[in-house]
Amino acid sequence: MSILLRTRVPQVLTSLVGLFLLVTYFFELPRSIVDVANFIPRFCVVIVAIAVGVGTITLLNHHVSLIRKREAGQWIYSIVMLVTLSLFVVVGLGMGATDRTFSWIYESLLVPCSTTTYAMWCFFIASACFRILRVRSRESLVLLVSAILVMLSNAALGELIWVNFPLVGSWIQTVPMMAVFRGLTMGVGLGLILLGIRVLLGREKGYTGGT
Amino acid sequence: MIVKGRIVDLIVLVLMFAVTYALMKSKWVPSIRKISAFDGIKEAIGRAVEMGRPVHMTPGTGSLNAMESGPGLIAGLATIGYAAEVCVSLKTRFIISLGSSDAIALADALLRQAFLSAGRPEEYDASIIRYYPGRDTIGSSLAFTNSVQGLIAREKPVANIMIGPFYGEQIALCEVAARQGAIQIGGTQSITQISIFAAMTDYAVIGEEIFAAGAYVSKDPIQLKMIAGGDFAKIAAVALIILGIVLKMLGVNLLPLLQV
Repeated sequence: MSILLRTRVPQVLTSLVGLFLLVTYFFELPRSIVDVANFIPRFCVVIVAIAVGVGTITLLNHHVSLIRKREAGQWIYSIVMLVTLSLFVVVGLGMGATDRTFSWIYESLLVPCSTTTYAMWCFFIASACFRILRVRSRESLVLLVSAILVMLSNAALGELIWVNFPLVGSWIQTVPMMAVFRGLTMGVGLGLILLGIRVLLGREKGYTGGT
Repeated sequence: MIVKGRIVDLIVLVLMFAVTYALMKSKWVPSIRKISAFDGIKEAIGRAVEMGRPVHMTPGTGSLNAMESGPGLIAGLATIGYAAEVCVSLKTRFIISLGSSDAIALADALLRQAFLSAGRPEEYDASIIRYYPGRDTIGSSLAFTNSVQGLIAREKPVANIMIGPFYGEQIALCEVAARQGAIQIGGTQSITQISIFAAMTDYAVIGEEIFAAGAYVSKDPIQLKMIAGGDFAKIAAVALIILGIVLKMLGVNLLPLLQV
């Protein structure tokens, strides 16, 4: 595929669709044009569905390759993944997504696995907190002190130690933290608008491989 | 006829367009301040070359179609495209983990372009891209996070580049990468998640810096002028805030005027 087709055509299409949606957002236009504008997001759903298909093929390729190579410590899990995926697809297509069997597989396999792994994250979060809160500079000292104060303000023990801990914690969250958040929000908002302008003008090339 | 309640929004947008366009046409080429995180990418990849271990990159999880994750994903892919080009030119092994199915085609195009630019298109290997279903497919990033954690633990990358939409899963990813001793570069457009990157990574991309990735790495004068346009908008926004505070103190309420 030529570079023109791979980069310029998607950029031009993005610009045209973006400008069209902007015009329909800001101006009162005839019903037929508004209908076209409302249809575009639905068209995106179709693209996403195709993308999910591409994703599934990528996933299958990867796991089939692991099984073929008998990748140590991985290929057995790849078989489990392929069997589970096939089971879901067969039951889902055969009995429908609302069928009890389908819900049972989801609730009895996926949910417990997800909950268990999610629960195991707490150890990662604990060691991550230790890493974050080590005092290496003046800024990290500020972070440590603020974190301790906010923790004490949220824990019942904090109020028993000193009745004003909740007030201090609340002040940290509503004054200095909010000030930073608002500054960041403004910066990110303007950055977003500018990214949009760059995309509309076809100057943002990075995402299509044009850096 | 303009839709009621959107007149001020339109004026602001048109003004930003006009300023940006005027800057684009001007001869002035602004310089961009140093963003350590983007400079850190080369340093991290250089270390990977020295140690003979891979580089891991991910633009996070989310969807290009979602308003809250789409722009971040575009910015993340731009950064990853640049990092991939550096890796290809230095002949370093790298892995890209994707949590968004709709980003696969874009990542594929980026990689093909990177190998093509290096004059070695035949070396492109589709297995560089690892897709793990994320929020856009299954509504949760748990599968993505667990898979990437496993990948980092197995492959032991020297550098871990995470720029794009993240929703808390970066704690687990950064922690696993830190245990492997990886240099970490992270950034997201999500206000509530930036602090985690700031605390856990060696180089963090703060706030709107994430959207300057394309301009910073390409040093394209037009893109740099557009970034300068954003700075003018910021100055104008701060001036308007101060004006609003002064007028409020004088008893003038501007809010109804802004809602026309």
